Amino acid sequence: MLELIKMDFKLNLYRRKDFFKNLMVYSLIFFTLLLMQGVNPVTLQYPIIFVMETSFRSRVREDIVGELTLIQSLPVKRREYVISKYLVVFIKHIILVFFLYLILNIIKPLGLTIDYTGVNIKKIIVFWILSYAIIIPLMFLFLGSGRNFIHVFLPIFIPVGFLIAEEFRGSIYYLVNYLGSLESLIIILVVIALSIWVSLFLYTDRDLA
Amino acid sequence: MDYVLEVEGLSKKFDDFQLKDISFKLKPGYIMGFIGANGSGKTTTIKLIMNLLRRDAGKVKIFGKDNIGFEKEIKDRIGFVYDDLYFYDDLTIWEMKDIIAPFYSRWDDKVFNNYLDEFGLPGYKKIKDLSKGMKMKFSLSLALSHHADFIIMDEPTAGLDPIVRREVLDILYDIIQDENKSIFFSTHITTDLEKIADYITFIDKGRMVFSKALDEIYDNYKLIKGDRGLLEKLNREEFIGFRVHNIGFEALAGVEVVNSLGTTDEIVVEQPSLEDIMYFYTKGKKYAGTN
Repeated sequence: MLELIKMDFKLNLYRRKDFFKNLMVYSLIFFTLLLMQGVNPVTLQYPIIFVMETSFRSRVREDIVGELTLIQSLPVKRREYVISKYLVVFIKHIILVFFLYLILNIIKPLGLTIDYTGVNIKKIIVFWILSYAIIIPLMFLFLGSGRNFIHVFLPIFIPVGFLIAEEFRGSIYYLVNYLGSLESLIIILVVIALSIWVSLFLYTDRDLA
Repeated sequence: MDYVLEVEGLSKKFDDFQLKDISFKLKPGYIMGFIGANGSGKTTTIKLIMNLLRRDAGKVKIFGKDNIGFEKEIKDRIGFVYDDLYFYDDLTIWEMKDIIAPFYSRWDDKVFNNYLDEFGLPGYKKIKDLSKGMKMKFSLSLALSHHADFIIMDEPTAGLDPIVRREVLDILYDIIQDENKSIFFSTHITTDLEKIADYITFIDKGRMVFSKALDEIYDNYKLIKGDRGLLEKLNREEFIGFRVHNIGFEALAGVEVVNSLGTTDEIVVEQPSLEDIMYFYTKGKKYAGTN
């Protein structure tokens, strides 16, 4: 398991050119939105795409089945591969939160007007968890060309979908907010567990061909 | 452990192809060649052995253990080489090694570096800049650097020039000098196997044809040749396969059939190559050749 997580980070390190290119692009988007409308949860969705890019190297030019054939020929259980994906995303989000905190503090002395009123960390975390709880199983469902669609578009559509749903007081976030913190935590854990179960179900007995 | 690999009644069905009831066994210290025409099911069988495909029926035991139940433990002792093995092309040889090595409990950097030297592979070179032969040598270096007891290879010599092919075969021959190591090697280049294999398993159209020692195959099959007139007098049904050409015929037959024909100047009996055996089994009795 640890080897799989390290493998993911090593790939980022070895592909640092791509990594920094993506960092530049997403930072540019982030700052543009920051200057336009201040920091709010919508703005903070965009770094998710950056994490997505570096977590699943499923760009169009790559052969996903070929990559999985290599990984599953190594001493790796399929179950470990699935769980490692969740852990990698979790670790990268921690790094991302730190990265965002750093940026916001760096730009503070520059005198940019930042509106913090829209920021609700709990809301952001709920969005992230719910987004990934859907995206990761879909990644395991589509190992072919469909995966590229999920990779590129869903990280944008799903959080926006949740935001729209929230406007209509129908989102899971609303439920989480309504309930006490313990219930919220339980709901989040159940969602994660359910997502892992679906991913395991989709991938464990899958033919890699 | 009596066998390093035991495959019993292995079956897998796809929409357009079915692998049915494949069975064979390999003892430690031997090389088994796995032959069959393109599309006969060799890669499917190897993927089932490696648990990349899920079997519909049958058993696969490696080192005496079920290949699914003990997957991680088994794969730690397996070296694999595939014809179309995926690598991260934008990484260098050293970087790719750094990705793979930590997965194996017995990885040996010294052995890996020795292979790089022996094969003339520069560690700083990106994988996308390697030739087909160099990629195969790199793949082989990865497979052999964790003291694997069993090497599984799917068409390792396909597309290689004769010199690289020979180098690969020499390496394989060196490996089995250690009597605890075994190799399972699929190919349709049968001349490679005649040089190094101890056993041959032959499948055709997803079905088992035979799994025998190479010597036994040579003892059991003969190639007979004669003129067309003679063919009319013989029972064609007794042949495994035959081919008629302008001046005569050639047929593959079991040694009992050949012995029953007696000694006559009309028939020439020759030792068939593995390619002859594969050819006549695949074409069967329907093939009439040139009339």
